[in-house]
Amino acid sequence: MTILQGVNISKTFGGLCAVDNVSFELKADEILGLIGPNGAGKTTLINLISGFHSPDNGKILFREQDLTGLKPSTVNKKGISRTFQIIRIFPKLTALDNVKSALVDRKTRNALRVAFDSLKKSEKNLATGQKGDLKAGELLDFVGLYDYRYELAENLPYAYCKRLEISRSLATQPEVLLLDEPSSGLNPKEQNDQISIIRKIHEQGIAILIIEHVMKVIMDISHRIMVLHYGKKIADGIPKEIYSNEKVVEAYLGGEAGAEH
Amino acid sequence: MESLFLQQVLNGLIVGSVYSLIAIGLTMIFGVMKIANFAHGDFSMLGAYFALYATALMTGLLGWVGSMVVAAIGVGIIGYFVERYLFRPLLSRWTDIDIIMLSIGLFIVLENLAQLIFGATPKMITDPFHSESVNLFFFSTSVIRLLSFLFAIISIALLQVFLTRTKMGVAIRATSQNSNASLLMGVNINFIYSLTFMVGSALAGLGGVLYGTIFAIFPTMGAMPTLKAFAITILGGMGSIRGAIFGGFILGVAETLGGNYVSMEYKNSIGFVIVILVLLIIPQGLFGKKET
Amino acid sequence: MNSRLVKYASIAVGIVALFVLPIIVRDRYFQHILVLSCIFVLLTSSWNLLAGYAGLLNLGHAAFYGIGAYSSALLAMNFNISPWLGLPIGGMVAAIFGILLGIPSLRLSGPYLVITTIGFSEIMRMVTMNWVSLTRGSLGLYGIPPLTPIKLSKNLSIEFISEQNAYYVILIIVILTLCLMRKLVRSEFGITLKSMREDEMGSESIGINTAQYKLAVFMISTFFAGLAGSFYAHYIRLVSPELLTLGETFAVLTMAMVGGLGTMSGPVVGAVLLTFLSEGLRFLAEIINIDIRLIIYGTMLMLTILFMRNGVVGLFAGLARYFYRKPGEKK
Repeated sequence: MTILQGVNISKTFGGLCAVDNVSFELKADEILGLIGPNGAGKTTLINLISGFHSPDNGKILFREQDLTGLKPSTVNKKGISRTFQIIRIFPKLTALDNVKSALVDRKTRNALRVAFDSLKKSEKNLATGQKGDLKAGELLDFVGLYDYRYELAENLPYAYCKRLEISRSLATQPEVLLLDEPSSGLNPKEQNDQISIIRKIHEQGIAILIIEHVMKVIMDISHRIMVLHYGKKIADGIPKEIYSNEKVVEAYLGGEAGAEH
Repeated sequence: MESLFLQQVLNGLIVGSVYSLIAIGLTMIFGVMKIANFAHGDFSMLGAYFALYATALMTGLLGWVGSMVVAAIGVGIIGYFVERYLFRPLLSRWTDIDIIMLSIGLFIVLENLAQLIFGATPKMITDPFHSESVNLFFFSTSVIRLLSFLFAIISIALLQVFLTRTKMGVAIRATSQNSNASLLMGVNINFIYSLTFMVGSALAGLGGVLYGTIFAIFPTMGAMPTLKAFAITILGGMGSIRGAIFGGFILGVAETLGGNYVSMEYKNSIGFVIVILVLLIIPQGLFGKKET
Repeated sequence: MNSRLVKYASIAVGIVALFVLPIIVRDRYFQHILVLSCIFVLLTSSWNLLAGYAGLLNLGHAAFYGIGAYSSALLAMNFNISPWLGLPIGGMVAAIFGILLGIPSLRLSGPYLVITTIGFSEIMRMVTMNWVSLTRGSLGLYGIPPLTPIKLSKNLSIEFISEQNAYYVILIIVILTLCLMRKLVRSEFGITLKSMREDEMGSESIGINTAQYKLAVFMISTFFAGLAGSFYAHYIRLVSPELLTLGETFAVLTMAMVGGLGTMSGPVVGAVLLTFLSEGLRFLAEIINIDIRLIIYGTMLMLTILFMRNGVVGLFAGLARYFYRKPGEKK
């Protein structure tokens, strides 16, 4: 069943066409890989889906709901979470607080309501107190960071920060997770750990759209792969097909076949 | 009636030229160092007081011109020390809240120190032309105002030449666009920072002399030019010198016309209203870069 | 458990001491300074909520102080509304203006935000000075009714003109306000603000509608500024456009920075310290015939930013960490 759909999406910045008439489908039970040379428009596409940019043309549909042009916070509340290529964790908060912040129930309450509820005991206050600690702890454990829960995020090594961001993005109970280069900057062992985490997330029933440059990771876990080049989609299919697709190889390597990234 | 309107416009241009001068200094400093200096107008105030004392020593037209040189150099030197020992230590460390607060602290200190040293009573620079006025076509103004206008224009023109034709000027512009690239190209960033701040402050000092010539000199005179300079740089685009020039003239004319045709008391609010409108409609200003 | 008991006990002792203070020191001038300190604690804490927790530099704070003061005064003088009601109403009027300023401020940061808020403040001040039919312009409003006396029995009532009784009122308001703020800051609302301060885009990605929260904080912050203003109006019983000057905002700003931005105790320390310092220096000024208070304020502000970024409270916290660290723990 298709859970996320992009229809003829385009976005131009100044004179540069970053995303050029791209359409895609993400099924509820799959991991869709998104690859392409640098500057191909992959992050822009994720920004468009998650609401950080508005497409000039085209529509983004989530379970038949039109998300086009909605604010990032609204998109998240509907059920789509994302991580960032350059991590955006909260450095001066502990790992636990990073996650707890995302646990706050904002789907049913606006800011003033949250403020008022803060002043009294309310069952809606999920993030604070023991309940919050427990839930946040579980989420950190899911990515293997439970022992570091009281550490300030800025003191965590880079690989852990990447995991923290993933853990935090799961706290909002998304149905779709957009991962922007979760393995960038990681050594091979860390990459393997990242792969297991992503698999675990998939087992939870969350659909995943993942951008990666590390071929090993993306070929390994994607059910399908989509390839962007200069903003256009040039290929779409299962990993084996993509690997030997001429156009893809040309885009990445300028003509030579098969080399490992 | 028509000539009255034109008269007001020209008055506005004269005032605007002085505003531009001060605003250019501010926008230069912001463009190169990303420092929003809320004490900028106080440099104008200091310049005015330097000129006051200089004209007491040197009289006449030469004295007035000489006082501008004194003011520019004097304020430039003060600017060097302020940049080197107050702002530069902060640049790598903290957020821009700190820089803004520091400059506010500086503003408070300078203003009140001036009050202490110079006394609160407003003073005037003695007009070397003794309020003689000149009539050109259909408008008239005092000679000294006209000369102020000319000096402001000349200074702005000289600055443009400096920025486009000299090596140091080009380095300043390069740093304002991309400090890392400039560093890699061999530009001594610290030197550029000092130079920019000194030039920017000197311009403020110069503008202060002209401002004091046209209006009056008193210790708290720095606040208005600061706020107006900010309004102008926002209107023109922070970091854009062209914007500061246009913005200055626009504000000068808007204020003069607004003051005469709408309301005198709210004249000074016009700048703020413009700021709020600009930020709502074209946040990057007339010539600024759009933020991605 | 033990340290918690100690903590609660010391707070209780502290509060009792604050209540007993004006009975021990019966000097009216001293009591007046206590009242002023409390007013500044309200102003500084509310400003700190916006600047220290939400990261928004609002340099128009004095305007809301003034709006609260004038609103409550005018309601009492023209419509016979009880000053007790005027207190929260003044706060609410200020909060409405707070939203008005908050909306354009949403897209602004750094110097743009500062200039816009300054602009707002100056426009409000000029309106106050020039709308003479409403505000009597520079003359200001005088003869504002004080907080209405509370009747206890036929012959006994508590008045609120005296410094001591006024102090008790404002002290209670301050204690309640600080408790409320503390709850807010430690709650889900507080953690949201902290997240926003750390990384706005990251916050948006977890469902935080930053615009909404910024507006909420604007409202809360300006409400308390207005409340402080209303109290001032019925205490000093004279208001003028002087209340809306940038100088007032700078004083609050200095108190917050010197005390410690982004903490609950910082504004309290800063406000009390600087109010007393200011009054103490007033005596000095009369002796040596020079008013150097503002110069000292400005210098303190600069020194704090350069050398003591986290204020007095931060300094003590750092010292405490240094002396109480466990052996082997890094500094």
